[in-house]
Amino acid sequence: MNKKIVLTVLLTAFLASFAFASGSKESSDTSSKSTAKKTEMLLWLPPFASGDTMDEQFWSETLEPWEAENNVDLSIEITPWGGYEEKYLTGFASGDGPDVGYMYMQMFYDYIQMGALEDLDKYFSQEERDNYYYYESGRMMGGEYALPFVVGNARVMFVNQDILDQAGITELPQTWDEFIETALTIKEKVPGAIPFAQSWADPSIGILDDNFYPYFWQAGGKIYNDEGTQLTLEDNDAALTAATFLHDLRFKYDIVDESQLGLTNASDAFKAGNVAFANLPANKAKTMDEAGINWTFIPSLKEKTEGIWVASDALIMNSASENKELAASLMKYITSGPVMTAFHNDVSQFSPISKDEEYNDYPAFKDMYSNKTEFFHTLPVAKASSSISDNLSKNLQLMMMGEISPEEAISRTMDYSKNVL
Amino acid sequence: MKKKKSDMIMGYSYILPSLILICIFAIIPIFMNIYYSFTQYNILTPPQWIGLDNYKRLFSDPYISSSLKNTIIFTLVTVPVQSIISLVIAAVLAAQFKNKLGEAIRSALFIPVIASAVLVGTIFSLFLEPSGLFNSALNALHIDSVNWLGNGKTAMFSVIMATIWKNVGYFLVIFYAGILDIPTSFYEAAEVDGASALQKFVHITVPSLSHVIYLVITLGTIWSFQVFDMVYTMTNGGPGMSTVTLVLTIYNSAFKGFSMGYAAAIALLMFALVLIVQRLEAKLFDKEEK
Repeated sequence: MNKKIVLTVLLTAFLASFAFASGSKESSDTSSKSTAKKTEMLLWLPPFASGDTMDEQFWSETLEPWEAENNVDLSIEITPWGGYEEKYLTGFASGDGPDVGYMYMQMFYDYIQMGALEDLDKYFSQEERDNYYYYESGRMMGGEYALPFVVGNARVMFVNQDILDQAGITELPQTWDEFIETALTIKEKVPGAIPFAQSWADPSIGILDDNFYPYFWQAGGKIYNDEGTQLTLEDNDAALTAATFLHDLRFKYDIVDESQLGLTNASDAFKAGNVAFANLPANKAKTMDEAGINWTFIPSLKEKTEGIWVASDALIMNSASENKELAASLMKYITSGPVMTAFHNDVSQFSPISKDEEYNDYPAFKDMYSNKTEFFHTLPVAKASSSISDNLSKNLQLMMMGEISPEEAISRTMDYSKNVL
Repeated sequence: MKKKKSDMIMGYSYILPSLILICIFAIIPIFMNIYYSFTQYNILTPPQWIGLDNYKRLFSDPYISSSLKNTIIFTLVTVPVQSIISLVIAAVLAAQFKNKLGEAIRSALFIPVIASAVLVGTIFSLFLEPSGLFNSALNALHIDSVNWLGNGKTAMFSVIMATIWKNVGYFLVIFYAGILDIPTSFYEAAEVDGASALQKFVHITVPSLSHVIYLVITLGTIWSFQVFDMVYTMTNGGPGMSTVTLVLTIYNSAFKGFSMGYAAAIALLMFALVLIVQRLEAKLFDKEEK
């Protein structure tokens, strides 16, 4: 009899827990329905400011007028860069993805293939398109799937002028050979100075943007074929030339020493004041000013040609969004002149993306953004881009650790690409 | 007979809620994983049957050979070292510190166990930076800095070190409980025979704990094969592929490569490996007892 009572109590408690869970959902649904007069939308953006609070605060305040005008309850989530792609995949897969989000080039191919992104053309009039400098850059794989948002942030060679002065160097190097010569002179004449900082311990694929791709393009290379379906690192000797150049900096000239292999953030090293050269994003200029570094910059070294990595990250619209017109309106508002002016002044300096915004990026780079655009390269939209980039970065790390040769680093990446493409 | 049947129904009824949950969250997903391993599946579109293609890809994927090698090395080093350290500490605590101080030491050593692995990995990453705490300590002893996370050889060692630091407290508690179960009369008899502390440990403590050692090694092996969060936070598989592990490869294939089917195939491979290793361990311990 006692056992039956206990059993009855346990089963009742178990069933009650299910009933409570579904009841709670129903009651919360009921309560939300009774107060929901506004359209609920979700915006995901990455962090650009020094802290997440600043980003969220900026966007909350800036987008409040748009929310009020359109009767929208806009939830803004600042998505950290760590686990960024995973968050998007799980968000889209679970149906909890954003109405409007932000993607970088390596992400686009697969999402477009899966039909997860909305073609934006029908939401923008010709006049609106013409107002954007880079609208056509968002055209890929037969549709306009990206509205370029962060364009620029070029990877340039920051130079510590004080260290060059100490070494008696009066002219900035322009070619790879001149760079090597300059770095060796600094090594000899300025004890304690690090000639060239490279963050080879950074585990993200972003190290390619700073450490490899600029030199690869300077050597005349192209990463993928036009369709984005085949890696073309071995179509000419550019990849090998660039890899050998980096390898020689370490093993032939000792310009990059072993301490660089443990460096995860070259900008922190440059900010410390004892680094002569570092490939860094242009938006670090203000940071270096605040740190009191007497710096200048070289837009690009030259081998066969010049080559400058520039970002072309974009806003996207989720094809599963239930409020596409509003999502398009939100995208237009975010990228409008006044909002972008405020963003570039208060949060992070980038080049203007539309004609109704003045140049608010760092003044020193204006000439480069105006006159060097022929040497600008963005990452292509390509299949399995993220995986292949990860493999390439790991093979280059192995190369810089001396475990494989430059030839092996490139050929292993090619072999891997054949495996996944 | 009627009572036996009634007892049986009662027993199953007690375990039914847990059984339902285990089926939903463990058993069924295993069968789903087997199915998906024969498909091309990116989560957003329906899976497409591709037969054995994912398994064929396993043989040519450089990440698989590297991650297998790294996972085995990680397991072969971590499991014995953490087991020995926790056993020795447990034996010392049981012998010399059966007091409040011993309780405090056990509690302190258990704190890393309950700390998040992501937190532990992040903190160790900071400690192991070129200008971090570890190198500062080495420099204070006039030893050159070590490139802990930027060198292929020391990167794996660093991950192992952090993992052992995190796990020792857990196995210490298990060993301690096991030691307390050993009859004191064994030690008294050994003392009468003039056995030293080391001899008592080797000839009494260790053999008496064989079943506990089996449990510790089995758990340690399974956890080592599952290592992910520590590697993800500290090195993300780098530098190069020196710390890529099986679970990290599964994760990257699924969430960065959009290949859930291939990730499922790797997961099955790992399942098979863990099963083989566990059976070998079971046979080894059965053999010794015989």
